[in-house]
Amino acid sequence: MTPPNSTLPWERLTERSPLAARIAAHTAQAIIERRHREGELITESELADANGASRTPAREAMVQLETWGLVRLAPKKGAIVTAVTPEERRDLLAVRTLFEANVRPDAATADALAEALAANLERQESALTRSDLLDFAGADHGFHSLLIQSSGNSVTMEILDRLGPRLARLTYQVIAEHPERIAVFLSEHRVLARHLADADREHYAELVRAHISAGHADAVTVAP
Amino acid sequence: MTTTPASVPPVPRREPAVVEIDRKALRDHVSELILELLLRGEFAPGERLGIENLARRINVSPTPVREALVQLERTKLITREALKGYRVAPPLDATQMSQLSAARLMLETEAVRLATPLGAEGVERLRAAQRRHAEAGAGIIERGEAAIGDAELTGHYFACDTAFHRVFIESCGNPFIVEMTDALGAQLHRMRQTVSHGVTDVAEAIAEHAAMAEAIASGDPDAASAAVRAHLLRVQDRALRAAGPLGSPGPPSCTH
Repeated sequence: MTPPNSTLPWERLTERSPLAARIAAHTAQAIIERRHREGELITESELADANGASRTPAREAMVQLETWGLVRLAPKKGAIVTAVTPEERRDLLAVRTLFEANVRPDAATADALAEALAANLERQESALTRSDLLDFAGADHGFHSLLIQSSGNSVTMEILDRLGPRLARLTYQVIAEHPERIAVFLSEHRVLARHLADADREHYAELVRAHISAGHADAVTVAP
Repeated sequence: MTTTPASVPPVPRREPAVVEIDRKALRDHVSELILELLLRGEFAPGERLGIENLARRINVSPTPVREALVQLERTKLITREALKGYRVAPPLDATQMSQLSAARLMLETEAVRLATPLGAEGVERLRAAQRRHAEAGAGIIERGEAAIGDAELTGHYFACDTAFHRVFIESCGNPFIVEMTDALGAQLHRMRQTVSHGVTDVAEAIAEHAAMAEAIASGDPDAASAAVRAHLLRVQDRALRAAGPLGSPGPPSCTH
């Protein structure tokens, strides 16, 4: 019952996913987990060989990775893993804050949303127990997506969708450097979920801003 | 990928080095061509987009077409189905139109807040864009009924409209907001086609743009944001009314 757009590319793969989509998703995952480091060159043939594929889907996967902002295509060479700059972090988090502060939950779907949020919080809890950073980053992304989707506006979700891998990358970096923060995020998420339907939207927006800026505080200060 | 010394046996379908270097340029070019075809309404909503067909039509090989379609998916003008390939997205319904407007409202009111104060040079560009929009609008009012079927005239008018909005959007300093607004731009274009109400709100739009320019020039971010909000809410209201009674979807035709 997870809405289709609330997941990251590797979480929404099915047996029917095209090979190029699979290669792109798995490579995105590897970049976020820093198995490919910033500045590393990934060649087309390397990507093709690693996935037992021909060069055509590998090439398509690289274009996809570029639209996610995870690599920069280098003609005749392949793709170079991008670095997360402080500006990018600031701008991405400003966008996430903007979207979430503007949420107006749709009363008609309140029950389904509460259920989905509860399931997601359980997943976060389980990731915390297992110290599974990637799974927590995925659950965190799912959680924020659920908040944004609670307005019932599929267009806002769609345009934010492409930033998913990059947002997950930011979260992963923070919790990889500060694993103790996972528990803080989880408890803040519980507070956000509880106040999502409150009538006082300005207060809710404040909670969102505080959560997002504090979480990434020493990475960069988020503009109000 | 390494260079090929002469001693190595020929690799099938190897592209010349020049093409390799220009691959990104080619892909972007093909992407623009396909976008133009889509925006001109050359394909029916729901129509299947065969890669081979498209490649023949724009006279390139299938590879850049395949890559261009990956890029174009983000505009939501086309959709990809597993194992089936790409299709032109179905026409927008009333719900999607109001969602689109709400998304636009959120992005543009924030963009203008971030962009204000624009600075003297920015205000000048804004005023110039405002004048061009007003002139294009005056041309349409002058032509009266005759303007309705004139694709070039309305196309120019919409381009001036977009250009005016772009002045403050591009100055917001957050590339992601600019990018997302662009992605919505293609959708908005579709909305105009779906509604196909012609341009019936020229006088209102000119007046509202003047008020926006005034508010932005004042240098007050809140006033600027409020003016953009007021304009977009009225645009939304007019579009939804034009879409037909009870919010039924507009005619599915994609004529201009």
